[in-house]
Amino acid sequence: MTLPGGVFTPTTTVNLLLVTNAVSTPARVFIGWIADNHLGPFNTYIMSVASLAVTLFSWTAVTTAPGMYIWAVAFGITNGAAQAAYVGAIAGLTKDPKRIGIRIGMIFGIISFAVLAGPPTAGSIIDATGGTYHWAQVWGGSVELLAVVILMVARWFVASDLWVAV
Amino acid sequence: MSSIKDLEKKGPEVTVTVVPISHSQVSLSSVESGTPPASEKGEEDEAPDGGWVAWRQVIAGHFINAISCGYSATFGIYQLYYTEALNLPAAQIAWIGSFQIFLNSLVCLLGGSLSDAGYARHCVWAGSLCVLIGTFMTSIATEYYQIFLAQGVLQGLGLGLMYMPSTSVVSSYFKRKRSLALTIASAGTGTGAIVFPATVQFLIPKIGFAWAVRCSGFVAVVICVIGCILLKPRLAPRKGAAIVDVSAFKEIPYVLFAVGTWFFYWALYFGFFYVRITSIPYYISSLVLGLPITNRSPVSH
Repeated sequence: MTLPGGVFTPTTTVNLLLVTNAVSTPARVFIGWIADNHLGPFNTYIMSVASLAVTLFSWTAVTTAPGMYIWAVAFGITNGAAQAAYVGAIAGLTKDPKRIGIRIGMIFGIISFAVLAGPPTAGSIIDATGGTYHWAQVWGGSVELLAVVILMVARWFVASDLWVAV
Repeated sequence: MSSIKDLEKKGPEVTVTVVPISHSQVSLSSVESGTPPASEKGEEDEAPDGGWVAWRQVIAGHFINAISCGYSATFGIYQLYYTEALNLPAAQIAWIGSFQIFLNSLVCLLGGSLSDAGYARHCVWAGSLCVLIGTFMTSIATEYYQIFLAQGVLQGLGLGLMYMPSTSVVSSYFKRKRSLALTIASAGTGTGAIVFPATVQFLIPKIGFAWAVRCSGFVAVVICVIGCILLKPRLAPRKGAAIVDVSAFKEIPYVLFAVGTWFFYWALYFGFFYVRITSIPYYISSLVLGLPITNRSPVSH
């Protein structure tokens, strides 16, 4: 849902950005600790992406300025956690430590096209739905859910036991 | 120093007994040089998982990530300047930011294989140089193609070269605490995303755009140099390292991981810049593609 005009100005949205960045830093460190000591890096990564999907879906319900700040906190935590957990997860999948660089680098090479395609995709959904953001938000949440499903299949190939820390 | 060399010639046993305790580092280094290269096999397989050298890499990774992932957070401020002061079209300028992020991520491929091949530090130095030249070129650029070359190409290339070496080096020092080490390093993203935009935004009204950009470049120089000095690869270079490891694609979990992560980043990016767009419905709609760049907290990162 789009917020009423005038609630945020270009200057005050910088606050939202700062909130998002500020909470993502401790979230990153915390998620690393969780990954090492409790859940395992791959499980942590999947759960972080799942929480990101929930966050994106919940965005459709945000209608007020305080709500937007609360949402920015949630988004900062979940996106920071997922981005940080991802590198640990792929490092954990790599058996030969001398191939860490190339194997992580290859994933980055592949996702560079996702990064390039993301904004235009979102932009065309917004255009196609008359400038509102509702369906773009739904799209975002759905894509993250799809990512969770694919990653869970990958996780199953690594270890079929659901409760083992991977 | 000459006396140490003399001692080394006599053999490591002599060194250990002669050198007083207060010079323990000296005795250590000479003992190391006296022993055969045992680090070829056994030691390399065991990640130390702690200790000063290992945590030093985490600090280096934090600094390098502050540049490689945090530096481009400033682009939103640049974009405002280009559109308002230079009267360049917003959508075109936004494309520069998108291209920088794309190149940044794509070049990680090169940086990754180069760091496996033993060129981790070279990569970081070369990347730093590209970023710094790109920054100083930015401060004097006035035409669209100049900005594209400086920020889109040169900085994108440099930031991409810097990211993977620090990540793979940090990773090589840890096993049980690997995720924590990597995430503390990646938290540098937040540090950079606060330091650099703050520097530029604070200084533009005081000393003007060109010098504000140069100052952020000076800050980057210091951070780059500290990161480069602290970084110390642990593993011996992998021989015959190619730019693509085809064998990885034969592993189903790896392929599925790549596909899943592709979708994760496809929508993540959108989600990220979206913070500002939904919040400012009447704010220049042509900036739609540009806004994300302000929030860009890393592709990688």
